[in-house]
Amino acid sequence: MRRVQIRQQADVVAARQAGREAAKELGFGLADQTRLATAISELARNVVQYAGAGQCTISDESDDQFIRIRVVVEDHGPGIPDVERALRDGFSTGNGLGAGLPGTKRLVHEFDIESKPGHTRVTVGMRKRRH
Amino acid sequence: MAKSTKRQAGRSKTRPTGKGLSKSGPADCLAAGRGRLLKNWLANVKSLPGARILELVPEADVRAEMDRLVEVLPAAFRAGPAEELEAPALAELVELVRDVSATWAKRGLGVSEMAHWLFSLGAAMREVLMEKFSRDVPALREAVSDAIRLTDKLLLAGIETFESARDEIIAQQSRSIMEVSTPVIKLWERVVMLPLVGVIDTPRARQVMERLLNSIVQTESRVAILDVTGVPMIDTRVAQHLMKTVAAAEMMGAEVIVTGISPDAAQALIKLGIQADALNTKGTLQAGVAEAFRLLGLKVTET
Amino acid sequence: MKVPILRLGDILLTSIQVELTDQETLDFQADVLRTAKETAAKGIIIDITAMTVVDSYTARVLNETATMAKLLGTPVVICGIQPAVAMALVEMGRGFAGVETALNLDHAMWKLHRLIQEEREEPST
Repeated sequence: MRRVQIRQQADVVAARQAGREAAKELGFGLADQTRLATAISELARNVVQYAGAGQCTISDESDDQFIRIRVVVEDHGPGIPDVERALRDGFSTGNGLGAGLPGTKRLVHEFDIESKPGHTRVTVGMRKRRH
Repeated sequence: MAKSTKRQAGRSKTRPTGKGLSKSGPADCLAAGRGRLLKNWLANVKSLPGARILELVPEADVRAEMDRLVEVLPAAFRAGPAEELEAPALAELVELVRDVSATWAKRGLGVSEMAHWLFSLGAAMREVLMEKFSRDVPALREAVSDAIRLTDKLLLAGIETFESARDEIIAQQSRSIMEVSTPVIKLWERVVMLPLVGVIDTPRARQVMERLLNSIVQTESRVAILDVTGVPMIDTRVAQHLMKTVAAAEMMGAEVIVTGISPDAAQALIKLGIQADALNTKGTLQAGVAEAFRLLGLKVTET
Repeated sequence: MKVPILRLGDILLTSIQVELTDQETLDFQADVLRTAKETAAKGIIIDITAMTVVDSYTARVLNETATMAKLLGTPVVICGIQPAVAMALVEMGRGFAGVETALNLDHAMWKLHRLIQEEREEPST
């Protein structure tokens, strides 16, 4: 398990590098490593931008059928007022930065979001069948 | 009717004695009769009509596996056939059955063969127990019913493993089919071609995209021809994958020519709201190759 | 971290070799535009072969940089986009729309010369 504190822009880079490293170590291919790193980059940027600070936790959730990596990005910011709307394509908050959540969701195999004022938690995951 | 009442009466009468009787009786008997058990079991397996076990697995291997099983069987029997499948007392035995089951599934044996094999064990156990307890009918009945319960449990474990092993084999096969059905051909200096054959689902579409893009880098190709003649049906979902592949290749700086689009595919693409000029398409592979040459400034001349 | 911008005759060549933060990406944009203006460069090649992640923000800034440079009369070719990066961007629904891209430096040179020629033939655009 790895944890990266997200406080400033440089931490966005650190978080996605940690994600890529972990995915690589677990045997994911270059394409999946890149998808995961890109997704983390999008989520960590949101944290810096909207919440100021948060953290990114990467864990190995493999079982005997699947190799699975899970990344939780969470913060204690204002939260997303309408999650359903935020997940719809074409919706983005504030100044329209980022691909938004729908784009991020399309990159990963597992995606889950919980948000309320004071706590937002986005979980993304990649999985791969064992050979 | 009369018979069944008699049997029931018999059972209720023996209950107290049955309870007092230690399980070590039948378990010890199975341990002592290990050689006979194995011999009977093997005979039963061989006598099965149409059994392919010994055709597909070397007899020495089958024998060794059965021998191991017979060895740990008495301990499991003593601990209690009534235990759950996950119980530690049954662990070793269940593990053995699972191993055998997984190996056999890989060798192409069917579930029914697995079942026959375990039923044969049940029969062999019954035979050995009957010899020993021929005079003590209530004890025999209890021992046999324990043997049946144990066999049932093993059967359950065997089938479970068998199925997941089969799933794994199918998944593996579909992966390898995916490999071979997506060849990338270097057609010319700086031209790659990817003839798509077969059904395209999301994992395959992703794989096609990855192969095409990597081959563009490896061969330093500037033009990629994606031939979809061999794709049986292009619906909007497949069309979407196709467009993504084209977009990614173009993003890298390559030109993509799509050939072999059927009328159905054309409809699917229009439904997606794709403008005709967003795709460089040619009706035939031949026309596609000519277009690739044109894009590279090459000319084919007859001499 | 400052990204070096090289002058190669009348074109600029810049290769992003490290992971940039958002601010560094913006600094890079300003740097490229300023250098293009100062040197009166005829074209710019941005090589991103070493970039293993291009997220939507980076893609957007690179896109904008190319458009802005074009407004200054300097065409841009972005080259070396890695297959995995291209896939991730397409899946997200992002890309380098309206920007000329090339597979490698060689290809980029070839494309840029074509663009410079077009620019010469149509000075009004």
